[in-house]
Amino acid sequence: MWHRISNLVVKDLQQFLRDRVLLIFVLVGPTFQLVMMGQATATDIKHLPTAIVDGDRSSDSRALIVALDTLDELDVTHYLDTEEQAGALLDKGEVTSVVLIPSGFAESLGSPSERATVQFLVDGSNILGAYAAVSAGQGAIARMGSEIAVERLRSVGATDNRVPALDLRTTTRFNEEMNHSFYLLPSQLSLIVLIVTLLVSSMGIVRERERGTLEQLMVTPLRRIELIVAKATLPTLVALVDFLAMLAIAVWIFGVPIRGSLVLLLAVTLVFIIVQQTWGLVISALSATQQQAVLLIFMTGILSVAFSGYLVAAENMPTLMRWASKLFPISHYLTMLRAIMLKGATIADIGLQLFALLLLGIASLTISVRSFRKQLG
Amino acid sequence: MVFISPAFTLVMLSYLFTWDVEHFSLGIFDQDRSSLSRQYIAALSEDGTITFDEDVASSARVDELLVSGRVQGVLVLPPGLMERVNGGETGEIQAILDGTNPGAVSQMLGHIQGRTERFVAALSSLPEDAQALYAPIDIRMRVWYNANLSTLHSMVPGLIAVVMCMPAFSIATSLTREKELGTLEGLYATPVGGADLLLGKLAAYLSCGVASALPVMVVATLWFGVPFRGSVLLFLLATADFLLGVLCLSLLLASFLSSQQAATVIMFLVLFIPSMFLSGLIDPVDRTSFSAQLQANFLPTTHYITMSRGIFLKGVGLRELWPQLLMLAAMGVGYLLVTIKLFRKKLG
Repeated sequence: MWHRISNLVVKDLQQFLRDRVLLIFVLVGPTFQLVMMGQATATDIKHLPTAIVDGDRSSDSRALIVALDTLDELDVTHYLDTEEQAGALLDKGEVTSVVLIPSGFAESLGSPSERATVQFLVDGSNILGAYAAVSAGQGAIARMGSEIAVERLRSVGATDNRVPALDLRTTTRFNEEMNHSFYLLPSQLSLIVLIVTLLVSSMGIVRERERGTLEQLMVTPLRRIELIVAKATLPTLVALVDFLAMLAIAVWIFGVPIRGSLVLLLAVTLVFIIVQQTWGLVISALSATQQQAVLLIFMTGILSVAFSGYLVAAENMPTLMRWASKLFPISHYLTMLRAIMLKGATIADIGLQLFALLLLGIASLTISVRSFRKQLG
Repeated sequence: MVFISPAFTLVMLSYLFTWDVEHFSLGIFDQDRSSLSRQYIAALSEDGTITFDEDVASSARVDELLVSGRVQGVLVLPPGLMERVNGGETGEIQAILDGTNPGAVSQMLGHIQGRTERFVAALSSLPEDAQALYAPIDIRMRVWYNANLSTLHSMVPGLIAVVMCMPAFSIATSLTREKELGTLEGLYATPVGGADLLLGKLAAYLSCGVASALPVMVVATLWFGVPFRGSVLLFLLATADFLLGVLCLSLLLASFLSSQQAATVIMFLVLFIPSMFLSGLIDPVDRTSFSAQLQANFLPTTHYITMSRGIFLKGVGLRELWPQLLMLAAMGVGYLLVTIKLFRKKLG
């Protein structure tokens, strides 16, 4: 029995290594995409172009401009005379934000009973740029304000803070620097494992059918279960190799930590790959040509991404979607992946998800063996 | 299929790339158990955005909840909080948040901070002159074009550019298909020259692509409620211009390739993935990095995203967008001329 299986596995492996295009797609594509994605999300947003309309031209207004320009996020690129000119630059997208300092700014700052006004206009069409500009600009102006507040309080003789106050101290666990790539790279990892598993497993069978060699396999002494095991070996190997390559990139290039056990991480990944293969079997039963299979994989991929918590964590979805997401193996896998890598979760912490994944696996295995039997029968 | 699929893909992608979080589940570790702490908790959970689902009794439990992911954070109110605050001192509150999802954390923090500030303001009822003392600068923040900072309004017009790359995939596979089937040689023998063949294909896919922009616009405005402030005609012109650039680029790439599979892979690596990450769709392109600028400007998608966001959100016209239009047209014509030349050479 093992001899028959290994023969088929070796043949599949040779065929796979000969198919250059599939090889590039499956091995180079994912790592390329991961690197690009990491680069796009790992660095903070910096150097947003900013225009200044300084109606005051005082030492105070210049101090504010310097404070804004020294921020990493903002670069002062234009000095303008009117708000209209600034509006035109925002329209063209040449600046992301505009700071309007009205005349009389220094005067208001000088008298303790007055408040000085600063207007800050932000281009909201790129949402992440807008958020970065708003928080950086607001922070810098507020810092200048609190320095002046200290002076004012001192000048009126206030010694203690007479206003009740609450101080909110924040501790961010698991990702102290709030690195976006820590969230996105595990997402991408799970998606690629999914796509590669589906692609290699269903292509292997559909291609045999297209060429008519599946019938030939049927008349050999190979039993059905042997055929399924043999056909599952190559996709498992390829997906694991992909996973390890991408894990290495995520850890060594982008510094994503693995705080839990590597063995547990690999074990969970292996379970996920095997469960997802049964979906590949169903897809191969449904499609007559390779092109149809690709289309079905693409749709499955998009749905899996939407429901997996790729960008929006499942717990933040509307109720109906949250329940639907539980039917996709990838949602449980991704939760476990993040928990093991970032939170150092042990098997006890992820027991519930692992159980759900196994349950889904048994269900889809039953369906896929049925559909496979039908397509052969 | 070609007509509807961009609109369908736009719907799916838009849900993917939306990260407005509507609900946060927190744990509360109230060590004070005073009327003030209860008021504060009620003020935070008032509108249902934040709910306190776990009552925590010990620090060890905080860890457990965060690791298992049952809550996204825990708020710790220390003992003696009410005494301190009523005595004119600053009370300290600690928020321990799960940082695995930084986007959600910043939004959650914004919510908690906003509610806390309002709670404190209600406690103190600051008089007018005191405000001048404590907050001497009045910052008036105004976000143009997208006043509520809605992720959807920003992402949908950008993602249109990604889905409009789909006709480029089709034209590349169609050209390589002819090569696979060997019908390209057959066409060479007829009076239809290489240039005519390419122009014919280009015209077919260009008109198909422009037509598919209409359902895309309907989805964006009616389904997602994105405002459309500019001119429809200009948007269609911009789309045609973009398609010219991107279709000619894919014809050029396809002329080097011989199989449909290869065409799909190359288009994916050269066009689709960079369009997502290097085009300014997500992060703005870094102004100071030469390589980032070069890559972004070389991608037709970058220019189309600028125009799409400009027409949808800013309502700008030809006066603002002519540089992008010109750039795309130049790209299209340039790629086309090179492709035709390559074809002639093969024939000769």
